[in-house]
Amino acid sequence: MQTRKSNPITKRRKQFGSQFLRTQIFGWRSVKCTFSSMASTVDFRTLVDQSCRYSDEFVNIYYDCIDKRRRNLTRLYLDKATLVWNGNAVTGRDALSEFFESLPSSEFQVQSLDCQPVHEQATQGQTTLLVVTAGSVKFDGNKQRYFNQNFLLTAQASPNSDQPVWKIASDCFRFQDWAN
Amino acid sequence: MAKRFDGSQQALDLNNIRVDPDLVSQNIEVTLNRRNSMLAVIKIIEENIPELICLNLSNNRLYRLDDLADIVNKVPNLKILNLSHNELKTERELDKLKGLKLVELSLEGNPLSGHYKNQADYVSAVRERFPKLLKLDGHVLPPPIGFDLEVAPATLPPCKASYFCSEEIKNIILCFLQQYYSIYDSGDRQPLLDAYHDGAAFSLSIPFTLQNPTTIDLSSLGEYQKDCRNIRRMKDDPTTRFRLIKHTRLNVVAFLNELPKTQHDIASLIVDVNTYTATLLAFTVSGVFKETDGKSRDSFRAFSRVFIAVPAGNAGLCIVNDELFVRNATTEEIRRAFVAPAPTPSSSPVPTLSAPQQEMLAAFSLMSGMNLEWSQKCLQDNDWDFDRAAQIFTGLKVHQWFTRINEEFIYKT
Repeated sequence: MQTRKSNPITKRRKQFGSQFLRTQIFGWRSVKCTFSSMASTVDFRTLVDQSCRYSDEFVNIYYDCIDKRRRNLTRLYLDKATLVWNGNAVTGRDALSEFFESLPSSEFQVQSLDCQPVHEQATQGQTTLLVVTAGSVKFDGNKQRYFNQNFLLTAQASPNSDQPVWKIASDCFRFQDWAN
Repeated sequence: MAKRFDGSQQALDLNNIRVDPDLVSQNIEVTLNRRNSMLAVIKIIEENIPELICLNLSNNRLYRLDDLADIVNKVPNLKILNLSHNELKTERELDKLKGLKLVELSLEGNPLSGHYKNQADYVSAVRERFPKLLKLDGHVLPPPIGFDLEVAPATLPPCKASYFCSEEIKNIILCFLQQYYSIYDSGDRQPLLDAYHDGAAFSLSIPFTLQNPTTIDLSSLGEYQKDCRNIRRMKDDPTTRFRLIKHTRLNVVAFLNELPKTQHDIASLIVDVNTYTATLLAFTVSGVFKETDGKSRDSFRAFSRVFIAVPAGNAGLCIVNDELFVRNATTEEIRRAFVAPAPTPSSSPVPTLSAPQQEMLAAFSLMSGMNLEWSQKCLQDNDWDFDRAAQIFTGLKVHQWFTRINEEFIYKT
């Protein structure tokens, strides 16, 4: 019988074998990440500042477009982008086009905006932003409702300009009271 | 009044009713230019013949139509109205009847008729109030030309619950969330260090209207206000903007540990899978939690949280981005929260476990670090196959899945 205190992790390892370590559920700390935790040439502070600037611009453009130029909205999305709208999944430009056309006209008010640069390990180096908004929206014929929305924006080469453009890779929208 | 009602025409003739012999003989005074009388008449119509189409109010000394205004809502089918030989002085009286879909109107013998220089102006003024009018003072008018603008009623697509994309992703995410929140709610969030990537980022936001602390009360989200990141309000303050993103795993978890202790209603969690690629799984979780300590103990909050995770070697999900939005729960959400006996995952009464099962349960709970209820659920979901259940937990499934969808990622350039 062991009287000295053993490391609880070691104890478990002995009992169940190394593959059952609780820590492995989330990711073993010493698994070598072959990517550095920061982008190679740009530091985190710069990424954050950039993401703020771009998200602000994006939010102005997006909500203005959805309210006033609905037919142009799908241009902001990647060809294979997905929208999850209150649990309804819509994928691809054509389906998105049809979906946005079916929505009544809208009046959005964005009240809060937060953003983060997405870690490059998730995006294989393709610059991506996480944009999170909340506010209220009034669809024609319906009462005003609060919503939460988030986007993944990714930088893509554009055929129309020599500068890359932001495209929506995913869009997730939910009314706060969706269950009512 | 019955004798004045013509059922076949749905017409009621109240011409000069004040001098109606029946009423006079009974000493009933119906003076329609008095509010009470008019209201009473409308009430009688509403209660007995609300489908009335034709109404004759001529010769009743009406000088204003305010008291008749209710007729627009109570007798909506009225199409023929005779107001001739009254004392209406201006066409503005007609504004009070706007909404009636009149087809025929008689106004002759009213002072207002004399106001117009020509017929066209008169017709135009009346039609402004009753665009569908076809007959005025007995004269047939040319029919108005409308616009075919009849649009379908504006309906929104129905709202649905969680969108998981596939059963596999559902299992992976639910498994992850069970683990994550059992630690998050445990009182010590330090073990979450293993859930986050070295370079992870976290930020939080709250509703705009609650970002200005004016009241200190239970619902004020006070614990979250100072760290709320709303970049629209920080345009001139890049330092704060930067400070409020918690960066690196240590900072993220240290901060999470400072947030109020919570109890999440796991059963009510809604998950939307934003997207996935070979290297990324992004999903949004929303639901309700209760604060279990501090100034706002017992407050119910609702949240929307975006997780972006990467596969971690062959061992599970590792969070790289985490954004949390917290607001107060609505009374409806509070009513629905924690309805199922928490946190028992199965709705049926817990069946008695056999001895080997109990042993397996204890071992699994110890191994996984989850409480008995969730351990039991995991084992039950896997038919009490310890290895299979454990496999889910070690994330081998996660690895297999990420490998398989390697071909499908959307970041094709």
